[in-house]
Amino acid sequence: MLRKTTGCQVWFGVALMAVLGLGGVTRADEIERELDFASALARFGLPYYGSRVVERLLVQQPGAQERAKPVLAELMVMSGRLGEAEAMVKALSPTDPRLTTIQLLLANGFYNAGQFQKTREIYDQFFKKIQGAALTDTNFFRNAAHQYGQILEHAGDPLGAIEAFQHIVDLGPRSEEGRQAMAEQADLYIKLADATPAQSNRVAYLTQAAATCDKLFLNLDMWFGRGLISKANALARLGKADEARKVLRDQMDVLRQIDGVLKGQGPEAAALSPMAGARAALGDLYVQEGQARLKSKGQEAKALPAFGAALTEYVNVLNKYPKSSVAPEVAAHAQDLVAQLQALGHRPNVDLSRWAGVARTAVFEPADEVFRSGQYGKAITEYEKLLKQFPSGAGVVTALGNLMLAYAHTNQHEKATAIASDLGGRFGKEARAGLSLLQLAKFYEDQKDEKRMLAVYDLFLKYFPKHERAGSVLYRLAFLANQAKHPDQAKQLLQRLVDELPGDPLASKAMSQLAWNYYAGSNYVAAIQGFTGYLAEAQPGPDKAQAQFFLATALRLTDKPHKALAEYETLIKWLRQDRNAYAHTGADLQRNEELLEQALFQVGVCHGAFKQGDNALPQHRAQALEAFGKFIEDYPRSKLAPKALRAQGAIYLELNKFKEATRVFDELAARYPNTDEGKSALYALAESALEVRQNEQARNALDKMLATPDKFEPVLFLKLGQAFDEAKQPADAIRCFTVAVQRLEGQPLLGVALYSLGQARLNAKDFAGAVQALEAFFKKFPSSGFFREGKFALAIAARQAGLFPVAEGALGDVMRQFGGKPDVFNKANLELARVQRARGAKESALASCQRVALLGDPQNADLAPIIEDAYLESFGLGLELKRYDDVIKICDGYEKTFPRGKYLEEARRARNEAKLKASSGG
Amino acid sequence: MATSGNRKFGEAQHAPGWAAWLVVAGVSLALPASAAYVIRADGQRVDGSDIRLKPTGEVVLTTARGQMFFTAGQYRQAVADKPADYDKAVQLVNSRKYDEAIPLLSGVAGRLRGLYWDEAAGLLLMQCAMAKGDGTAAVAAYDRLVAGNPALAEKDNVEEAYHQALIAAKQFDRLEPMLKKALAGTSRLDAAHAQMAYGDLHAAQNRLEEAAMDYLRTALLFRDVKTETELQAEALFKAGETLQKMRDERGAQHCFQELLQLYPGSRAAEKSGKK
Repeated sequence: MLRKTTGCQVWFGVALMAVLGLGGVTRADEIERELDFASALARFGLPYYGSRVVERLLVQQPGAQERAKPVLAELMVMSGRLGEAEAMVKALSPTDPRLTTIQLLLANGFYNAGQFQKTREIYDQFFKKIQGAALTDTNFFRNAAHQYGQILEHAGDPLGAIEAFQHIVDLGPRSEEGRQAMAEQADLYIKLADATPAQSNRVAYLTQAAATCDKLFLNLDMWFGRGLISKANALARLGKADEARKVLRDQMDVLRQIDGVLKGQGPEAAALSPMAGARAALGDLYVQEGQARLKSKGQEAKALPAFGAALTEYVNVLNKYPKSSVAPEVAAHAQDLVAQLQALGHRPNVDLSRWAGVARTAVFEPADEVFRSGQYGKAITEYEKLLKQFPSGAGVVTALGNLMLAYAHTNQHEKATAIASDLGGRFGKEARAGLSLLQLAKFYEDQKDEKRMLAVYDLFLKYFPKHERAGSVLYRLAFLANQAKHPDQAKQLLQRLVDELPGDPLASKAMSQLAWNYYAGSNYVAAIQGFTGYLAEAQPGPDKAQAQFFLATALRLTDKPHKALAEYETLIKWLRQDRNAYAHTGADLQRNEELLEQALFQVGVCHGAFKQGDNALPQHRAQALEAFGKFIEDYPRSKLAPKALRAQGAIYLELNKFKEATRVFDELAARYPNTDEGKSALYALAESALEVRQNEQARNALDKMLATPDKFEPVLFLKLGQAFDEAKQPADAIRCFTVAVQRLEGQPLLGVALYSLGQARLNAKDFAGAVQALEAFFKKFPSSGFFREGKFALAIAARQAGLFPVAEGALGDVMRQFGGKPDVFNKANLELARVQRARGAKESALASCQRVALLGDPQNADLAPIIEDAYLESFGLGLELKRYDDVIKICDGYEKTFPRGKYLEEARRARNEAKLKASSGG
Repeated sequence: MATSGNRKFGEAQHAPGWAAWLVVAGVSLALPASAAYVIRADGQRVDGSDIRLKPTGEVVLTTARGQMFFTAGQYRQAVADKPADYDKAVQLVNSRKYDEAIPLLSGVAGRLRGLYWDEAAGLLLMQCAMAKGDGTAAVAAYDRLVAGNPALAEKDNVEEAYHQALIAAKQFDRLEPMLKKALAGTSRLDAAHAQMAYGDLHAAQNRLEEAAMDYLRTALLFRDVKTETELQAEALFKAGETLQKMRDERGAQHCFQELLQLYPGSRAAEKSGKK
């Protein structure tokens, strides 16, 4: 039997099975087996897993792409990705045996998505292609015709539906499918008659209906019963009510026989019994009779028995055939009849309250059909009318949901939002209501109306926080927030998912995403926590592999090389032993290869990161050397290979294995001459040597660099000079900076080189040289970022070199520039005092010191050390000037100002000396 | 793998699934009557008072007319009189006194190698080991069993018990080649069971998605194996349970609903009602 659809869902499986075959048919080809399985999963209702099966297959067998296309198209249809499916179907070969099946599947998918025009196009094309051709699979054709007929009927095209069903009748009018098709045609003719205003057309349709029914009386089966009912309906509409009733009553015995047979086949078959429809039709006829008698003068009294008979039939149907398709309509008619009888002053002894819900479902059905056919304006009118009448009860949630969508389709967005709030407020516990809001959000998303989409999602989360889809909504909103560069908002949403919906399928993914967000924000501690939680629950897959890598890296970055090492090694084991489990696509495999490479490199880095004091340090260093060596062997062309060589070199230096270190750095220069590390191998050697305090080795490397300075970028000399400077090797720093100054002439970094040279010469006590470099610096760069430090350095160097005007000039520049900054001003004053002292102007020097000591704020943390230094200078100056009383006062003043100062001992000594000299007249 | 009709699929649980062949061991071994006998190759039964198996594989049956000799190929089954300690061992197993049962069963299996009771005792030995959570011991019990009677390796119920023991012992490397061979073979029955066992293997390795797919393969691709509807029902049930572990509640409920619709009277349907 061809299965009747219920509601708007169209059966996929029936058409599909005919061509794709029933589950369980295996073929030798493993690819076909997996594709069959994917297809079976789609039909079973798990298209997501079907897609995963195909993804895995294509990772293992990339050549299967072409063969997989029909199944992919099927999966896309079942997943609602119709646009992609359509493109894929168009690209299929016209000779592909599955093409037609997939096309019809797509057509049905379009229908379910409300894109009726596309459905129609595909089906019309199919029937056009079939016309006149010999059918290879009549079952498939019959099922397709039946589905199309039902679609056309739902879409409000009964003539089209009749035509579609005629294809089935033409295949064999005596077959069960042919008879079912004729029964459906008869009902459609009646529907056409009801919908047409022109009387002549009405009569023609009804006559056609009756004629079709007569063909059904050749066999005694379910369709015989359907034919009887339809014929009675047609006759009634033709004004032949008596004839209609006779037709039904005369065949009641036959109907009872059929009823008995169907009941014997179980409750499902019993629900299909024509007896229900026959009794319902009889009831309707009695009601018509009653109505007619009410209108005829003198016949009113005879109306009541007719109504009574009608009610009896209705109640009979409801009690004995509650699951039949006519029950909802009968319930509604019974309710209407009871209401009418009550209005006439009668009290029928029947309780229909338990059928109220059933009746309501039927009430909304016509409006639902109008909505499904895309006639939104008309649907709105219907729903508004019905919802006024039936504001609550069965069917209302669906009706409200459809009304809301209809408003959205017709740009009445405020009304749509109002309904959304109503649905949430009144039906917050009904999942269906939540789904309606999600449909509205999807509508706005498709319209690219992000603001409205987000507003609807907010309503959904407000009213349906525990809905089964709440997790995916939160996740999606977090994704959108991340895209819009609102990371904090994204974090909040993800955290909410994790905290409030721990059992949601996306909870662990949210945990992972949170961890990523923390990692990206350099909050490695939180990232470690997040990744650890995620990894404990995650299943093998590409996300898990990535998370594992970043967990290890976060541990490394927070200085936990032991733990980092363990995590890198876990990842390496996964990717080596089970690569397919951690990859769903070819791109995943590629990414995992990169992760593996990085992890292997980082193993060496971790071993190299263990600090002095660790008992196993020698072993770790040895393992680092081994790891880097293996890495270079396995990945000679990796970007990390030169870094691995360099790291080996640094470790050798640390272990005082200078020959090996030199060999490695030479190898670095030879093998990777075009990399930064290769180009600067000697530099790398020198820098690495300094890092491990092998200053002599660094010096040797510098000597080699200086032998051919043009081979090296000038900035390397600058960097190396800074490294020597930090390592307190001023002479070598000077050598580097000197070359840097020469090579950087005319370039922006010259300023840094000149300044650095000046500082290095000062540190090396080459005061004249420092003055020369710093004066050259300020001549070329009078207002650089090094102005303050440079001027102080110049002042100190000039003072030491006896170039007092230069020193005073530099300090004057500082005081002018930084007059508003007390710490700088006072430091300059103190330095000036030293200059004055150096050139013999001790009185002025003492006055300068005292100015700083007495006028500066000792509570200012920046000023306090300068003030203390000023006091210290004052002690010495005072004693030299033999101003012993002043020295005593100054010392007292210091002790009072700095009771825990660093110069208390000096103050005590100075005071004692002053007292002694004062008393001895010295 | 053999294609005997001896296979039954009992009340199954997730890996290790030893309870499955607990039923198998009890039910499919239709316990023979007392006294020894041989079932000849032509199906005829010959009774005797005593029986032994020679190292050459020849069976010697002592009958009223004297001794009869049966070489390999001349008989289908050789059965010894039920040993007295066998029933005691079964009682001990049922009372969960596994440590007491094991020596008795080992004795039976050793003494009556090739004479039916080694299979029964061997299966019970495996069951004891699994019940004690010692998969490795269960595998060892199997190895001893088939070492003494290689023909047992071909029996479906023994093989299934062995699969579950390997899973419990985490000896996946030993199990996987066997399953691959069965899947690639010509017997749909064996392939269906192998597919199910694959699911159990992956579940034991916590490779949940792969396990769910294996169970779904069993349920969806082997519907032509009409004798195994309980297997397919159980596969749907396990698929649902696994999807629940993967936090796909919607997918899980879909499986349970399909199970109730397609196999309403199955044991798995009863269990799924609680989900």
